[in-house]
Amino acid sequence: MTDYLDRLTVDWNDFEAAGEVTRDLALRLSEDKDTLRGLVYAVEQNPELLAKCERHQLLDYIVLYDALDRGLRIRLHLSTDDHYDRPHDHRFSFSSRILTGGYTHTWYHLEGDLYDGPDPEARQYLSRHRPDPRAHAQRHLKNLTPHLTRWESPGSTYTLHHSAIHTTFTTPDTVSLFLRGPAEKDRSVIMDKDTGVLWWRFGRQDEPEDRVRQKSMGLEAYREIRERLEKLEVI
Amino acid sequence: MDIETADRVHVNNTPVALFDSVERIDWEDLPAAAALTQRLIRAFAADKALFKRLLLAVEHDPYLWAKCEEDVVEDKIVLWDDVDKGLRIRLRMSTDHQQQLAHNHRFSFTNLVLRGTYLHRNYIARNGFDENTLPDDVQPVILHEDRAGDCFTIHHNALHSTPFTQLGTISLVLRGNPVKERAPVMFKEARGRQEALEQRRAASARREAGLAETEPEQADVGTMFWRVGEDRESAERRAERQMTKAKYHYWCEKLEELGII
Repeated sequence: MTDYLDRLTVDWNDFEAAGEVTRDLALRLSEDKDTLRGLVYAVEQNPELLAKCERHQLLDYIVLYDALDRGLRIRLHLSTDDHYDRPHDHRFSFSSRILTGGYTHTWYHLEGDLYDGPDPEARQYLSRHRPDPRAHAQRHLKNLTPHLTRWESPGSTYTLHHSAIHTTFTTPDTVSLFLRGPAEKDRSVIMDKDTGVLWWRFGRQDEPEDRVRQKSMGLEAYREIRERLEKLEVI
Repeated sequence: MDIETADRVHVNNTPVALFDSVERIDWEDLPAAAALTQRLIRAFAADKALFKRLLLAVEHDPYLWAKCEEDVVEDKIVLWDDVDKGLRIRLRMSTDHQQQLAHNHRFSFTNLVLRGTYLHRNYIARNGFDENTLPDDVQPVILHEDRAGDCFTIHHNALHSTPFTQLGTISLVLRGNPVKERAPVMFKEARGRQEALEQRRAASARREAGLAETEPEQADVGTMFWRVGEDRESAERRAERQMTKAKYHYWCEKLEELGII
C-alpha cells in the first residue's frame, strides 16, 4: 500500500478522475487497518507530519501522508464534542470516507459570487470573535439555501469540489479519512447562521503566528487522540 | 359535505396509521422536511406488510394506476398520493443503462435507495440553468457514492443526476407537490451516440423552436428537454407511457423475490 501511495499522482484539474482515484484509495485504506495503524503511528517519528496536525473547535486531525506536489495529502479527522452547523467551503477539493460515527451532511446553494478577485482585507477577519463586518458578508448569509441533506454513515464516501458550500453536523467520535488535493484559492469561507456572522480561513503560510501556534496539535494531544482511535477500533 | 375528488378516494379508503401520524409537510423548510420524511420513508420501507398492501392495491385504484409509467430507461409505480399533505410515494426501477442527466425538479423530494449503487452528482450552473445553458457551464461539485440504505432530501432547484448504471437499481421516492410546471434536463453524456450524431445537425434548429417536452431515446451531450407534469401531456403521450398490467405484475413478483416487500 505505501508503495502504491508513493507512486500515485492525482490530477485535481480532472475533478471526476481525481474523485474516482481518491475514493478508491479511501476504500482500500479503510479495509487495510494495518496500513492505517502504521501511518498513524509513524506520525510520532515524523516531525514534518506532526507539525501539520491540528486541533480545531469542531475537529482534530492527524496528517498521515503528505505529497501535495503529487496532488495528495491524507488526513484522519476526529470530531470533538462541539457540534455546530456552520456552512463553509474549502481551499481545495477532497474525498472523504466515514470510518465510524456519522453526520448530517447538507449542501448549500449560494446565490451570487463569493469570490471576486483578491481581497487582502479578508485577512483581518479570521475568527467568529472577529467576523467580517462588511455588507457583502450579510448578503451571503441571506443568500444561502440548503439544497440537499443526508445522513453520512460508516462507509459513506464522496468527493467535494472546493467551491461547494456544505455543513457536517457531527455526532461525537466521528472518524473519517480525508484525502485532499492542493489549494486552489487563498482563502475559504465559514459562516455561522445562528449568530449571523461570516469569517475567513487561510492556509497556514498566510496565517498569523499566534493562530498557527494555537491550532497546532503537539505530541501529547497526538498521543491522546491516537489512544481514542484505538478505543474506537479505527486503528 | 365535501365532495370526494379522485385523488382523495384511495387516501380516504386506505387507512395507514403511519401517514395519518403526520401533518401537512412544509417542503419549503428543507431541513425540517428532511428530518420528517427521511424517518417516514425508512419506516415505510421497513414495514413490508404495509409496503406490499399498498403495492398490490395500485392496480385497483384508477387514480394511482394512471400515474404508473414505463419510461425510456426506468419504470415508476405510484403507491400513495396525498396532495393535501404533500406526500406522494413512488417506486423508481431502472430498466436500462442510464446516462448522466443533469436536471432539477418540479418538486422537492426524499429518496431512499433500496437496491444497487450509483454515483450521485450535484452540479453548479454559474449562470443559471435553462434552455441556453451549455454543457460546460454545468460542473459537478459533489460526487457521492449512493448505496442501498442511503437516503437524501433534495430541493427542487438543486441540480443533480442519479444515473442508475447498475441494472436492477431501485429507489423509493417521497415527493412534495409540484411548485413549477416543468423542469429542464440536460444530457451530460450521449445516449445512443451514433444516432445522436446523425440528429445533431437538426439540433440547433430544434433549440430555436423550443425544447421538447418528451425524453429523447437518443441524445448528444448538451441536448436538453423539459420534464413536465402529466397535466401538460397529451392523452396519446399518457397512453404511450402508461405501465402495462403485465409489467406491473412482473414488478410485484420481482420486488417480493428481492425481499423488498
